[in-house]
Amino acid sequence: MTLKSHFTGIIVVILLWWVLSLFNTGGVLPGPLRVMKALVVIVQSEGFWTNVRDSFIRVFLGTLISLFLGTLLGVMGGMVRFFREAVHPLMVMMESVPPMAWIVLAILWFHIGPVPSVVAAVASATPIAFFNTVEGVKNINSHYVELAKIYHLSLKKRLRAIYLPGIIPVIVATLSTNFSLNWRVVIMAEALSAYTGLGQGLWGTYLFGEMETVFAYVVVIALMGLVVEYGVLNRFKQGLVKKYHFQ
Amino acid sequence: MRENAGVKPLVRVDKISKAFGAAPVLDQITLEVRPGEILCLLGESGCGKSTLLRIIAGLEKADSGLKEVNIAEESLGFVFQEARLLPWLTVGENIKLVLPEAIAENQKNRVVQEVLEKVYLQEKSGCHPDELSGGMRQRVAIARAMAVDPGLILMDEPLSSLDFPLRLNLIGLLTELYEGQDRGGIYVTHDVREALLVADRILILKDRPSRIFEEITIELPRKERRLEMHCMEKLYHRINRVLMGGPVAGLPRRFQRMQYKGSEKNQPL
Repeated sequence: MTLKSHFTGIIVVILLWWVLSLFNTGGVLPGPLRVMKALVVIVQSEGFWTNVRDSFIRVFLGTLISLFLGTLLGVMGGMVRFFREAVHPLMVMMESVPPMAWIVLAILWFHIGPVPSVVAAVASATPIAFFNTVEGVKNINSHYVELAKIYHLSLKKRLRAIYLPGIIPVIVATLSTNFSLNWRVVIMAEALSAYTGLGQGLWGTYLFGEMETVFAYVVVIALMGLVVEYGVLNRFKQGLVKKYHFQ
Repeated sequence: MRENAGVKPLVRVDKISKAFGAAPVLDQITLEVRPGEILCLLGESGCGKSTLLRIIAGLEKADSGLKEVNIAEESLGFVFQEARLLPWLTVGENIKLVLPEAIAENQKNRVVQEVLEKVYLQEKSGCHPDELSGGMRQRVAIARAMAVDPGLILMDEPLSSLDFPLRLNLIGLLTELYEGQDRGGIYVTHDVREALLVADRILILKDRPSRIFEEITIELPRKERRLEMHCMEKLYHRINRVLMGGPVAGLPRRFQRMQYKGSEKNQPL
């Protein structure tokens, strides 16, 4: 069963972790049980769910905006060679800038608050959406493009009936990649540039807290990423694939 | 048809040549299609007949030669080897897609119903292509080509992915769509039997680069050809000799049986 195999990996890692923690004398690797206890404490602590909510809002905003921008530019780039060649180097440059640099720039531009983490997310994820979409448009079945040519389909019809539905698989794949990238970028950005969010929580426990609380935060962050990927994004993907009759 | 010999052709190409890189494919091809006529381009796979059709359709450019198309751009239908239906649209939407935007929605629906009735698929308008069989999908593709009320239909081995009984039925259907009409057609195939059933004239393409090796006019009305197929055996032999460069076996027995069966049960599957 799939669920069983999915859990096997997680259980093996927890067991390994537990065994390693038995040899740990310096206190740098607290065991799973201690971390679980700390996790219960953070979940009940004041402000935790606000942090979760804020992080999610930023990740979703960052993902949606980057997906929208990247897809829009990518569709145009896929269809118009000149546009593609003009935008491509800009996107390569944007992709080469590490998220950390975007965070610093965004703090300078927007000051500390909710905005810099979203800006860093958008700047980091847009190029990925652009590259994927350009490839997606270029790979749209040339058969359909010929069909559009033979029957003189208008640009509106081509976009609505061929290009946009044709890149749904690419959008779906990009959504997943951008979400997981932004989950990391936003949490890192929050540590430096926000007053709330899981990243800020993690950073706070690092500065003032116990080792097991830091671990507990990492576990929370990883678990939430897992839940969104399997619980939300996978279902969304399956829904789209079914709706658009992809094989 | 021959009586149309003096009429202005729907399409005419004059001394068309084409090469892909260093490999010449077509050499000085001249042909014309007259109203009411189906011209068949017959030749082995890879002889360049599809390229010629694509040049006529405007999907490829010829290296040299002239092309004269005397029908409106929108009045060209094309049936590809594969159905090329968009999987995310229903059958009805696939057909509507090729209709001009200016047409009112209820008029579009009427056209969809009409053309689907012609291919006996009026019930399937709301289905998606993945719910249809290969033969049904190809029938929808034919219906889509008919929807634009084409003056000329280009068909690039439209039945080659289907098995023989189904092919026979669809040939019946395709040729029915031409009866009493002024529209013309170019039908590309490598199947001699298909050519004999469909064509008013057959152009045999051969050699590399391809040139027109022989032109054959078939006088027998299409409706009678299925019954008279055995009488056409001589022609079948002759074409095969031209294509293969030597004598070949007679008309396959399977084919002889099929066409008698087909004539009794003359309905598409």
